[in-house]
Amino acid sequence: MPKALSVLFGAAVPLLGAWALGRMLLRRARLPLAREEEHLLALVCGAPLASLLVFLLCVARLAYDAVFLAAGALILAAAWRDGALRPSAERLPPLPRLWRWMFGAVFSVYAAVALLAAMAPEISPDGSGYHLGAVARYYRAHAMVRIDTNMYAALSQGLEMLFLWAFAFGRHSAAAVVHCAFYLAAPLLMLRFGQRAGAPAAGAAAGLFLLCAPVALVDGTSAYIDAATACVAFAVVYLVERGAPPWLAGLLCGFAYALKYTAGVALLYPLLRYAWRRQWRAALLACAAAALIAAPWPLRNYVWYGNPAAPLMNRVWPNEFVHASFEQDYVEYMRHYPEVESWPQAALELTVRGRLLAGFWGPLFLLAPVGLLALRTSLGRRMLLAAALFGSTYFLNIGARFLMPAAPFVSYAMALALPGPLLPVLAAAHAVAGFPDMPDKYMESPGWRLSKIPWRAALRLEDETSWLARQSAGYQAARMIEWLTPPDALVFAFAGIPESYTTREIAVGFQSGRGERLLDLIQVAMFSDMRPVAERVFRFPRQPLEAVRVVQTRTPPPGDERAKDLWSIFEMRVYAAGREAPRSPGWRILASPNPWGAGLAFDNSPVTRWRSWERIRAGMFLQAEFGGAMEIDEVRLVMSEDQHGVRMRLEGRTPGGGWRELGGGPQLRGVPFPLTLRRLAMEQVRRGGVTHLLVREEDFAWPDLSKNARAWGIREIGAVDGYHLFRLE
Amino acid sequence: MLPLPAGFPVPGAGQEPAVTQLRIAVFAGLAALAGCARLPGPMPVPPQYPLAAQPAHYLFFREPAADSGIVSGISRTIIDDWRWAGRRAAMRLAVDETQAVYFQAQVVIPNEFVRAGGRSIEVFVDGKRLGAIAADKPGYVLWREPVPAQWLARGKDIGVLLAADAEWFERGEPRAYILVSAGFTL
Repeated sequence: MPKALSVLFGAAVPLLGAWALGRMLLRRARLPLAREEEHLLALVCGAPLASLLVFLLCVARLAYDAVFLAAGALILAAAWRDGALRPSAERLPPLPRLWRWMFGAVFSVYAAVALLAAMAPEISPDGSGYHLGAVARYYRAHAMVRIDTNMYAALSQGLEMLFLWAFAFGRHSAAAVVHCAFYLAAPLLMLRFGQRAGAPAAGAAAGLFLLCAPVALVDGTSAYIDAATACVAFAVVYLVERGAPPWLAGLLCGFAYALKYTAGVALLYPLLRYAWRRQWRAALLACAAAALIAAPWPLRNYVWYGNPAAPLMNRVWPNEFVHASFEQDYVEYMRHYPEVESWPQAALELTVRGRLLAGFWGPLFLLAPVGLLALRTSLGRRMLLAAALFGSTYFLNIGARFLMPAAPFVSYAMALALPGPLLPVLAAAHAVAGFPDMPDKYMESPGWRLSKIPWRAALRLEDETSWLARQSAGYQAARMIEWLTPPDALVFAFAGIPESYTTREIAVGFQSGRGERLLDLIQVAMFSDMRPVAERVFRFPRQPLEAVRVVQTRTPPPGDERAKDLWSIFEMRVYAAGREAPRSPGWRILASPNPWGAGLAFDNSPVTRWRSWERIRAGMFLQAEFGGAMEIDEVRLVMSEDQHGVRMRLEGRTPGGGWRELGGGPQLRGVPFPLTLRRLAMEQVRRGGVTHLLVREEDFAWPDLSKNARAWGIREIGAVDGYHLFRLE
Repeated sequence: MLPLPAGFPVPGAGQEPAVTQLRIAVFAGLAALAGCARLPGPMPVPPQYPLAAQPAHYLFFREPAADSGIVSGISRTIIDDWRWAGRRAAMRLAVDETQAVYFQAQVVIPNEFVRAGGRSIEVFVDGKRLGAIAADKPGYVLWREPVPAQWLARGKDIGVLLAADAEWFERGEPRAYILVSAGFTL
């Protein structure tokens, strides 16, 4: 029970801090607010400032419990002194009696369930993985630290800053409760907005539509960010429609970006309104305020990762942290989930199936198209505009929860369009249908949802560790890593684990450029088509050259079976009369793209290779300058066979001259490679800082690594739940 | 896609092609920002990986150096990238790794071999039969078979024998099949 109290205390500190900051902010905004809405808007409007405060504390390396506690106390004291805590005298028009009871009853039940679910130990994949994994690392370092093993750590972390504040006192569950507060605030805001707009029944119904959606419930009670994004998105529209000062709307828009990149579209809502009314100064103010809150994230990313939009847009800002090829694959995957082949199928998945798109909104949302009838009213048109705005980014990732920012507006449009007498029936049916675990009774293998109310775990009447061991795949592996590895261990894994439950650094193969490069070493030794099995030999008349470069000349058309090929070269060697010209310190090497990796084609290692880390396109090159003219007649490239789409041309630079083509196409021939390739690869993995490997029995690498452990130079030191931990010898 | 002409202007560091190829107006602005991309310039050659001398575990018969691994039954004459193998082609190889090792051979079966009644080439490693390469049809064959780790020992000569079940004669020279490469691999 004391742990449950610490969870609540942990969540209360940042929430109270945000609320108090919001009260002071709203006081300065001179926005007349009713008592029912001022607390909600205070929480949402204070959150950007609270988040920024934690960011600055992290930058100043002051992320300590005492500092967080003092900050909360000081903010509350300041708000009290400021007179910002005095309640408003204004009240909103009362709700119709039916809705007062119905909304109150459903909201209370769902709020209690949500709170218990959020208080339970965190088991969500992303929450216990990267959201809180990064938070836990910042907390241990008392500062924001550069994490180059997880691209998700480069996403904007506006809500994670509040998570960090809560984590200091209540750990994982406190962070989830913070998110839950925003999940619960959203329907309340929708209700109050309806009362303001003279549509209380629609507001109440819309609020319940959002609240009781299975994906909203499970997301909103996890240490995720989507429900908070939905809440902030709605608050932006609320404030703009209430005529809030542009700087306040801008602050919230900036926070929307800080919560989630795609929610940056929030700024368009006030800008459209100001532009429509030709309020250019207001538009400028809103942009400036948004930039204030949003800017820390691109700035951090530019300084640390060389890409302000990391982990996206890596072709515009090339960097080592995330490879462009990964982004290309990832973006395609997120737009087309496996097995989802048409939009009608996606619509069914989103509403009544839930298996393929990681969650579902419930059968009620089959009526979403009816919301278009809301175009008849001014309020409806605004809601639909906001729905279109926040839904416009959904197609970048079609998972169910990515509809969350648009969901409040879709709910509103539905509630405005549907006949009034039907709303209580629909809301009640939706509430029943979405309650844990009703979907199991009418759906076949429903997807991600809250299937039970974990009240014993939430109140810590059940042992946290044993509950987590049962509920969270990978938790035991995280604990095994904690027990069996030294504090400075770097564990390479082939799939994600709940890394927030270990203090060791985890590098997952696909989650960063560094991880991909480590994975490539293992794959080179494991798969025949990735090994250095072939030599491309360019022969040309002997001549003095200052530099040579090999140029990739083909851009496969979209859809071409080789369009996803990456270009790679293990070694580039130059010869004269059959003898290799030794590489001298005067040489200079260069590659485009991936100039960082050029050295890997000149390091004499049979397992390291320069890779383009970008899908092949004409103009890519790898180049060696000799620091003076050198007589040569042959260039050999050691390559793998996983790049059939590559076409190459050799060019040389004559003394004082320009680049010109040398000879024709290369001759292809096989070359032997060391039988110790596995061990050599693992040596390079160790040089990359890795001390241990974590392998699941489902991982592609498991059969080879387990069967040939000695050849790899690894030794198993522990196993649990199908996870095996190997130490690099 | 047409091949690029010689002298195609390949961008240098700081002028990523991605930047120059962006086509739509929105990306034009980003392209301007991309001037802030931090790309390293030419760099020196890194320290050379000290690769220990490998034992001859795999022979490419286009190489004169393969002579040192031939014991008997394989021609010393290199034709393009192959040599003739006789009925009993014997090699001496060595390995520095014994786990997960395969024996691999790239051979070409000529019509004459099949006409002479050839059907298979048995493979022996240190006298132990590993398997047989089907040679009943003319053409290229890539044959791979895992070698039990206990058959191999590091740093010790390993005798490999390819025993064909037929041979034929060309200008009085005994021939069986064409050997491109053979040896231990992964």
